[in-house]
Amino acid sequence: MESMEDRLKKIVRSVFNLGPSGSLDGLVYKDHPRWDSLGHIQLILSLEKEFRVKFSSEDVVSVRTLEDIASLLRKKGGQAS
Amino acid sequence: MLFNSVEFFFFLATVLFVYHTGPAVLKRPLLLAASYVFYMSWNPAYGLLLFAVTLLSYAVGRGMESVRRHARILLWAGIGAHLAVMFIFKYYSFFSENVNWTLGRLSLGWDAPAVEILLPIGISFYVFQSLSYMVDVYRRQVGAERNLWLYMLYISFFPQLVAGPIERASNLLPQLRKDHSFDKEGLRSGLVLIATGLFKKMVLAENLSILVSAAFFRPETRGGLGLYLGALMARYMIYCDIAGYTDIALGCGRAFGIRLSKNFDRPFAARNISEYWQRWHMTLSGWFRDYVFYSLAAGPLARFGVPVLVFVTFLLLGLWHGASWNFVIWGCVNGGMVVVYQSTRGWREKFQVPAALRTAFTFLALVGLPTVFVVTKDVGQSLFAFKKIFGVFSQAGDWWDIGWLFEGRNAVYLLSSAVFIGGMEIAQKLNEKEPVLETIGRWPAGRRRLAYAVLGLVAVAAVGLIFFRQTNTAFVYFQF
Repeated sequence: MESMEDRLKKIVRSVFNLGPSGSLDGLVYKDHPRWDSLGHIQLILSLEKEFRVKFSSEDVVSVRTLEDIASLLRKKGGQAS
Repeated sequence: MLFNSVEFFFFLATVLFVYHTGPAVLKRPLLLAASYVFYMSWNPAYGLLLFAVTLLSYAVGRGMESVRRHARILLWAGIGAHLAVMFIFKYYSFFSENVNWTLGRLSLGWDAPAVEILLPIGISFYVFQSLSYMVDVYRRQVGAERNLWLYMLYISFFPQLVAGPIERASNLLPQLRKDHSFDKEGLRSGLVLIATGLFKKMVLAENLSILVSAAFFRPETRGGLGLYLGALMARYMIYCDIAGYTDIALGCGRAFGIRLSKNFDRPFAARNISEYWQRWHMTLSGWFRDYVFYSLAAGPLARFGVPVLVFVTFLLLGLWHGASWNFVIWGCVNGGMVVVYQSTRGWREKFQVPAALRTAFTFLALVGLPTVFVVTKDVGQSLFAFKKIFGVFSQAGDWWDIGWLFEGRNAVYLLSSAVFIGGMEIAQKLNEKEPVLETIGRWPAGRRRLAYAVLGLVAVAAVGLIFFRQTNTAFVYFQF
């Protein structure tokens, strides 16, 4: 079974069109041309669908990195596929 | 009291003098008193409204922090009260007109009462600043401010009170809390910014406004090309107006030792419509991103996907600019363009289009054309103008007629605007690396004197133009 981190990376690659081997190191909101405000919401909505969780507007503004998202997903217990 | 008036010059000089020479303990009370005097100079009653809005968000912020479990209810009550203020003062007339129009069609024999309400200057700016504070406290991005006097200064700080930048509490409150000693460099750079802003407003915006009025005052007398050029000039005029105001605001702030937020980042250099909105009126677009777009994404509308969220956000952004169908359509058109841009991104990246061409297309088509909605008085006139602009083949020679642009004084305004805009764009591009004045300051003496002489001539020409034109109007964004 795929880990939560792997699923998260798969979604990020798909939303930002990075390709299966694209590096995700140091990916930070607004530092990557694809991760702008529209990409951010696209990512949030895709994550909600994949992990069946609901992000509040506070969550939306607080996450900046993949680590932030992973820790938020762990907090919300979003593991379902 | 307009920024481009003699009264404001004396007002600012007096406040600055007392601020930097008086005792430290009086600095904040002085700024607060000056801010209320500045705002009440338009209409003393406005001061009450400003105070009421301030007190409301202050109380909601304190309430949310002390009773966290009821924070959500308090926040919604605060948002509702703020929006009610905006509705009554800004949107009621628009609402009642449309309701009455609809009821008239249904022949129900009832009318929504018509009430003449004078729109308080800058209401959209300080109400938005107050709203952002409440949401930030709710999201725990800032703590609730305990000092009411300091909070009043945050909402009313006169350089940015009536037309922005819309400041976040996290940027402005800590600066207001700090004691600022006199900083010669801050004062010098502030005065340069004020001069730049006055140049944008009093020379360029005023010049262009005459040409734009000549194009759209009676659009039926103009050809398609003339109306199209009028729309492009109108976009530049609006830019010089609000960016000029912002420069003066930032300059005044800096003279007091306070750094206000950047609001424009050479918007017409944008290579696509999405980038344009990241460079244009940044504190407003950032506000809509953080408080509308992100909030919508966490609400029930999210199920319809990002395009709907973008579209609704831009519709509201349009409505913020003015209570009219023209602004609603203008917002929707912009939202539609951002949605199309975003959804075709992967496809477009396969083609290598030179950056200069993308920049030109963004300004000449995507930014310039929808400005027709902003500069015309109603939807009927907008459609009429578009019909003319796109009627290049049906109007034969008439479409090309732009002779009026070169008649009499218009030729002076057109030529001087073109030269000044070219110079300003080059200076702003150079400023990105290092302020031009600093670069010149390091040049050898001969070259430096020549540069200062050229700048002096530009200043004389600019002042000469102001006297030649003899017009001085209020800033466009005051009405928002």
